[in-house]
Amino acid sequence: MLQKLVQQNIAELLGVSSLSLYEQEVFLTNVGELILESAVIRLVIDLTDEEETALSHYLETEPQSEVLVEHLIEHHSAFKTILKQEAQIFTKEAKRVFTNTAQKKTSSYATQLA
Amino acid sequence: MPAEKPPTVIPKAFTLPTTGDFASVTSLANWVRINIEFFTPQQRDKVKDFYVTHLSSNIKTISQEATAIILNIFNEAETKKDVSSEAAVGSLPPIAPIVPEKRPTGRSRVIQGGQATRVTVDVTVTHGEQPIDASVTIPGQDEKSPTGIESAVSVSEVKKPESQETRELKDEMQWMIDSTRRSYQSRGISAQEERKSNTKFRTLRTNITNIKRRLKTLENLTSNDTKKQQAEAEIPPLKKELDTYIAEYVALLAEDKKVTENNPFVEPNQGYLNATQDGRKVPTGEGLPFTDDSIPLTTLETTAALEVPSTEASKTHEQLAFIAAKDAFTSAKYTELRKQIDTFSFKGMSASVRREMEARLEGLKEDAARIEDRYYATKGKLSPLELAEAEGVKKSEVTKPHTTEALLEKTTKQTEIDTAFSGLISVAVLKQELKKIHEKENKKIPLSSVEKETKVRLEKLITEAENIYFAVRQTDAAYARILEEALKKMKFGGPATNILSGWMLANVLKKTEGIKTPEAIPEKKKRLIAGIFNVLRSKKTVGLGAMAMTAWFASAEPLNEAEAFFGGNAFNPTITSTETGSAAPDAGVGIVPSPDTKVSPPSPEKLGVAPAPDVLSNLNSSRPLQGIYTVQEGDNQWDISEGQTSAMLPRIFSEVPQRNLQALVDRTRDYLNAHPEVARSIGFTVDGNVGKIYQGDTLNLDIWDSVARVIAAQNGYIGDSTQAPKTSLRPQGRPNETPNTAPQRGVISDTIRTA
Repeated sequence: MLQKLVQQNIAELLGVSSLSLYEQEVFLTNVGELILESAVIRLVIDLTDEEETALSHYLETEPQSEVLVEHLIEHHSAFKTILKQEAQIFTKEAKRVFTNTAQKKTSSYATQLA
Repeated sequence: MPAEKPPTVIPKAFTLPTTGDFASVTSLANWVRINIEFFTPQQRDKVKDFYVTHLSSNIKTISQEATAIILNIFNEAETKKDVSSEAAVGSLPPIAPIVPEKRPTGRSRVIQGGQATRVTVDVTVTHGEQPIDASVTIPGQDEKSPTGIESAVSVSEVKKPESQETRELKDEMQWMIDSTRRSYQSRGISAQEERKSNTKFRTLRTNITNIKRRLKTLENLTSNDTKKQQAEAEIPPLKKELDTYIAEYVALLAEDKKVTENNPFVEPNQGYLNATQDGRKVPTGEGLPFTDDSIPLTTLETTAALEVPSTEASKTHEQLAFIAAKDAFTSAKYTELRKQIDTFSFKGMSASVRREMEARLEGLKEDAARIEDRYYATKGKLSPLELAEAEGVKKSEVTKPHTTEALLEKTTKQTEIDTAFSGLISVAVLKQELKKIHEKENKKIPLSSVEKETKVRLEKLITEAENIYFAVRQTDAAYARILEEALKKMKFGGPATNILSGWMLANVLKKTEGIKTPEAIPEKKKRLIAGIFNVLRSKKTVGLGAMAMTAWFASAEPLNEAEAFFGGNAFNPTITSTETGSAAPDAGVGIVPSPDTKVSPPSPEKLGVAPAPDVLSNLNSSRPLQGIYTVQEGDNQWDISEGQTSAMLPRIFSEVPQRNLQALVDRTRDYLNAHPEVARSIGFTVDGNVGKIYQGDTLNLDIWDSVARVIAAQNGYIGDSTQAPKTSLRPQGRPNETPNTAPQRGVISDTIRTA
């Protein structure tokens, strides 16, 4: 129930609630991937040489993606924190973009895009 | 072309396998088919007699049909060997009144699960003058009778006429066969010679493996006092025999290597192995003779392994250049046509027109074959580069380096472009939707309240997305280039399923400003990130995002449910106090609660879109989402149903008992064929034939799972009725409306359609 509410609010906030259920799921899945990947980038950037080497060797074992994520959470305590931060950043960013008065220089850009 | 070697004779130590060594008649038949070519006529007769006798005496219930299959192989082999067919027929025992009209070319289906293996072979046999389509089914071990396989085999007649699907499949298979033959011919190699060469490899590998296993067993026996003497006596001749085979294998490898080097189209023979410098072996394919880690490689084997390259490393620069040229040429043409198809599809292309377009795609394969033909027609006088240029391929495409790093860079960049592209096409699509509303306004046609609401929403989304895109373009040169490339592709159409994915990319870019721009990340770390992404994205389509969402939810601070529901901070009360510095731009901006967060998502009806089929309501169940699967080369609908691809199978297929699996897969397929609107919501693109899937198609495993789950429940395939949704499969939408559940086609792959 809680997750549904959160999900519902995210969908509402991002203006995707009017999409079909399937489209919402796809969108929210994409959000999840984005958060995961940006968390990975942040994690790796801060790794020490030793940690980097160890992770490289681990990757050589060709783990399944789920197992890899579990590994990251288990062996890199910062990863869970980063994930959480990324999720929070994303929601805040989303909120900012969709609720405040962002720059409105779009008319010229829209022309370029068209 | 290597000179043909004399047939390998059956070694002395070689004993004929019995039918009990095989899981099915099919595998026995395959064994015979592979090995029969190496037998002398006398040996063939002996082998044939053995199996015919064995089959007729031990496998009673399948006797006629199974024997017919085996006999047919003998006949075929004998014909190939130019043995007098009259003599061959004359030697047939009179136990087979049913003679197969032709070699069974129907599809065989193998369902595996645990110890069980069910094999079904579709064959056409002649009974009197009437051809009969029959299906020989051998149940899995858990389905066998106590007396074993022989009493459990069943043969069922299939009397219905050949279906359209079957005809299409046959046509497709014939095309593949012709194509392969043409390819062989263009290389001056007959298919038979090619197969013979491969068969030699396979036979040698089998022999080597068998002897090594036997040696290992004997070596273990040397510690047994009673059997020590016998074992020690047997080992030396076996070792000698092993060395002979290995020498032959190495010679064959060397021969094949020469052929491969001189032929850009020949992949190195599968079954080569790599070996590290310390002699440790790294198998590169199945069926290798050296896959048993407990058996060390001999010096000879190690030498052979080290000398035999595999995969990309074995290709010469010329081969790589040519392949690049061919790929680039075909890809460019393909992309162009694909673009047309997608655009038309978006406009509502009819299935027949689409099929016609698809046929043109097939023509592209012919183009690729033509390039090969032309290359060989020049007999090497025209270099691949010259040929590519003659075909209109840009030189830069041909001369791209093929180092691992370059490939890695290309892959990473392509993914980024695809992501950006995905968002951009969504913007483009939304623009089209908006344009329709504008046109209505221009014609002074009053807008409905739904249209007014949609207009506002679209304008807002488009404005924000474009705003960020171009802000990024101005601040990040590297990504600007990527976006430029994505923009070039914007003429594609596609459903607006993830309007903000482009925005999300921009979001990442902004967060990675400064030290986190791609250029600033150390090369080693970039490589590590790419490696992790490769693993994550390898199962992107099976709910990785959902997993991340779970991690997201799990890691979130406790949320006051009431507060969330009634507005306030819709997400996390602590967000503003847990900023992460530069990673959170515009941190000073307060969170403004959305005024309507209290409102439930508007219904599809309210928004003027058709409601999704009821099966979609299943997506709200507690089962984790599986996500979207992008069809890979070589995939087929059956394999995906069974989880025999990198896709996770629709979950229900792993939940039903094995005995019901085949029926469920079939019934689901039939249902989807009969309900194209539901099939389309999954992502199948050919109405009435979900068997037709193409590389790059995106299939929603969750909807597929939901549909199959209902069918399973309706047919009693699953015991737990709570697993089934309470809804009917019948789409509940208003008449004449198509559910707004078109598949996402965000990521475009410039690859060739799967054959």
